[in-house]
Amino acid sequence: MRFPLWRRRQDEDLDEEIRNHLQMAMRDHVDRGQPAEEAHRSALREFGNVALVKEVTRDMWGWTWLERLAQDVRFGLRLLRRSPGFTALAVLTLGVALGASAIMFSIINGVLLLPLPYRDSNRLVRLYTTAGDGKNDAVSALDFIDWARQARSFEGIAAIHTSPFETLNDRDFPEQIVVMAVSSEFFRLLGALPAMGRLFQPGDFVFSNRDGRNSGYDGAVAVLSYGLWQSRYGSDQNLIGHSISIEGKSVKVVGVAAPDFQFSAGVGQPKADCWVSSVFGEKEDPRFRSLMVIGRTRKDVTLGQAQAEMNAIASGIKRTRPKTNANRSVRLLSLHESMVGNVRRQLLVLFGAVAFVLLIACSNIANLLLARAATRQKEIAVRSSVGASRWRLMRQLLTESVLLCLLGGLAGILLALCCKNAIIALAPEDLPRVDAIVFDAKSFAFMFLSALLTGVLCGVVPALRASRMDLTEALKDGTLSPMGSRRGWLGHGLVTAQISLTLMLLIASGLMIRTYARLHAVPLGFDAANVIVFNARPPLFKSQNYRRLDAWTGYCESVAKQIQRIPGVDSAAMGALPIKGAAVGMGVYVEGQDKVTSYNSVSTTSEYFRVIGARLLEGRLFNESDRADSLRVAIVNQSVAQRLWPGSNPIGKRFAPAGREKPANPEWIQVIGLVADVRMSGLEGPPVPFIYIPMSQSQGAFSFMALVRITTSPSSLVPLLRKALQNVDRDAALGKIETIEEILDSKFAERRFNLLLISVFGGLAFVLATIGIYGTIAYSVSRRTHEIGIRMALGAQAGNVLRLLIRQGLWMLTIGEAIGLAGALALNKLLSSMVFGVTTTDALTYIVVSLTWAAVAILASFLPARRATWIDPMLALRCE
Amino acid sequence: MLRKKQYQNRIDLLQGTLDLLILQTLQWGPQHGYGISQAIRANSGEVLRADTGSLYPALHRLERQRWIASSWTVSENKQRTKVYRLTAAGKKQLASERSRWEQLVAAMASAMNAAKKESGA
Repeated sequence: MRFPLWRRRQDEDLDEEIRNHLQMAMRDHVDRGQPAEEAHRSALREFGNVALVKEVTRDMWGWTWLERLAQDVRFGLRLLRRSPGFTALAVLTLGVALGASAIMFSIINGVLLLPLPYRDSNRLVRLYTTAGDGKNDAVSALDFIDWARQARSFEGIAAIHTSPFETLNDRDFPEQIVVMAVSSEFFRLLGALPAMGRLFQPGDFVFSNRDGRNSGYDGAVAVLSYGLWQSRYGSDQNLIGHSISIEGKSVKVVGVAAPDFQFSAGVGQPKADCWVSSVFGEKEDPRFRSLMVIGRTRKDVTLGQAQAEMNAIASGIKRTRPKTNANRSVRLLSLHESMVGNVRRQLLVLFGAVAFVLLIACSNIANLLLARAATRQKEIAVRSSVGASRWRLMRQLLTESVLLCLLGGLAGILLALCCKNAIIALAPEDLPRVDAIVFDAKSFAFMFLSALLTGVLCGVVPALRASRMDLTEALKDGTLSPMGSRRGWLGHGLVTAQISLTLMLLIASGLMIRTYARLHAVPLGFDAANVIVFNARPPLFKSQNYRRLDAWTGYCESVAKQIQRIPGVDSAAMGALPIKGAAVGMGVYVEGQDKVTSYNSVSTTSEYFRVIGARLLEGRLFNESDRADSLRVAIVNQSVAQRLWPGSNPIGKRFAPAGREKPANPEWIQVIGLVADVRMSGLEGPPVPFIYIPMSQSQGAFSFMALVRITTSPSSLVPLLRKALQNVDRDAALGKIETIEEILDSKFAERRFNLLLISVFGGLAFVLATIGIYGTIAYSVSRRTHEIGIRMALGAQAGNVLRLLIRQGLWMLTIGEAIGLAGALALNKLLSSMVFGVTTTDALTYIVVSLTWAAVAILASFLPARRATWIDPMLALRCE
Repeated sequence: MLRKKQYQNRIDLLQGTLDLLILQTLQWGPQHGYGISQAIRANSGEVLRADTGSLYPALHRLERQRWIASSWTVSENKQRTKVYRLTAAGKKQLASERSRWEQLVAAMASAMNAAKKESGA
């Protein structure tokens, strides 16, 4: 960076002008008879501060602030170049901290800050009903109709019913798709546009189902998602106006939605392949709440006003339909809030953690700058004695620290760009809108501003301090202020803050690690490797074929048998999924015990336990001899056995299915096997009691999930599996194939994400704070070399010196740890949603972490302190 | 470190007056900075002293305002010197500044006299 040429000329001119002035003045003095030497001095004295006169004169030229900035930047860069070690350490420190916060910001930006991809999405709301327990619940058709009729706060409301496993039985083979039956306002509310054809219009919503139920697609028309249109219909331009077949009903396609339009009910919920026009009838069972209702508030209506109106409507409905709505009220949430609400807190906690890291980095840099300002005392003193004002000096020092932080920010951006994809890959699948996480202009702006702020924050105190120093003291050959100087006090304060912030982060990481370890230590009770699962639902529209129970069970058994025959398949079964299995409650009346209890039960085909690798503890598994007409049998898991027959062998015990009351004629079921507990639903909480019934004797507790243990790659099996299903029923569609490992992994993913980020942040804090402690003690040792030399010359032992120096560190440590522990306890509630198996005040974690951290901190202050004891008193006294 | 501030205070204090004095001095012909300061001193009977910390900023400011112009000349003892001269705009400015100054002086004088009379009566 150079001044423009004309500017340099102007500078030279000013120099010459002033030189002339001085010469003329001197000549006058000589003329008056003064000796040349004296005349020169008089002229200078009369003139005053040459540099300052130049400075204020230059001010008149304008633009000087910019030039000074350039000058300061140039000077700052030169300084940074001159001490590459310091610069590298500072830039790296800042880069890591700023990079981490940039990544965190881009995640928060994508998930929490970016508006939903719909027109004026800030006015979109979701309407829930709530029961006495305050939980958000779906809406019944009747409620929706009443709301739509009465509410005035909305431009419109729309109801959505999602059917995730509908059979699309046209073209070459059937396929399972997600169908959303939507009411008339749906697309208009969201401001969707068609890619082809049109979206729905009023004529599409004719009430054609005779029974007033929303099942079946009679008279409906469909809008396809762009994805389905591409994948299944090969982007066929002529599809518009033609029909597709959903669950055996022919539905006319009127349009294809724009490629970027999607809608799902919320986090991790299925996304629509197809929308069909639907009228939600008044004859729907009002106890059946399955609708998602969204609305768009009017421009002049706030969420609070809309909520107030809905409250009034809800209490009206309470009076007209007390049977179903006596304890029902309505809750409005912004659609955005309803989709990301549950992760907001976690992300904010993570952001808080990164802010801690940034603060620690900041105080490290501040400490470095303080130390450097002290070594630059003389330079600063000289500058100020030649007339640099305090503000000018501060600006110079601040420019330096901001420059440092901007370089750090640059390093941070590079780091963030490198690591961002890895972080996103680790993000749990159900982190909402993970696809919206991008490193966009807003992230860069955030980065720039936080770098700037960091620069000012960590530079302002050292700058204030340095520019306020006592000139005469500083110029007197730089004697060092002894211990207890104010710079020492400030530096120690910063280190203490670092210690406490780090302790808080480390405790949080400790809790996360314990959570994760606990989660992994949970016995699964099954072998997840090499098992694929998929929905193998029979085509329910063929009701004539599946009217009887034995037709269903027959279907399930045939499917299992057909799949079993495929080469590459070890064993196959129909039954409930481990981890996220669906089950039906079954009332159980135990022989000899006069009470009825309800347990989860599921029907499985005979190979089920082989497939999932469950451990048989007693008795036998199901086999071919368990037929519909043979002895009724069941297998129970340990939890059931412990509850029903504590302390005795359950094999041979009998129970009977029951309603609420003891059955009049019990149909006894004999327990023939005891299996180890299998994690059927989630990993948290105690294992759930489960009763397994052979498919052939099923009373209707179905799961249409097929589980297959395979010896080859899943993708190579797809056509064969599809064929196997079609062998059983021509219209049976193959659902999406997942592995149990994937399902299991998704359960870990969220924890892992939290664990990873918090631990990385904790680790960074740990490293930075350790450097900070080490640096502070090392610096104070170097400053006190002289003093230590005197002490040792006067007979102090190495041990005394060591204690003296470490005492300082211990004080900072004690206070820092106390504050850190208090802070961790104060903030522990924030973590409660993120831990499992440990309490947020888990004493073991607190103790182990704080002791470990104390040990490291003591070591970090011991190492530089020990160096002090090697000081040769003679050398120490001679130095300076 | 307060020194710069003091300079600035004095500039503020002398602003209009120093400008007027400079313009007035240059009315008699081109002059260099040192010459201007000596002239002000001499013409005021050694009372007024134009501080260099005010004089040079004022000269450069007036030049920016195009009331005076500068050029480099070679003086009698072969030295390159920067001399300032009054521009046409400067002359106009001088006239108006001057009449304002005279008004101010007259006003001040009559106000002071009135006060004197009152206190005398």
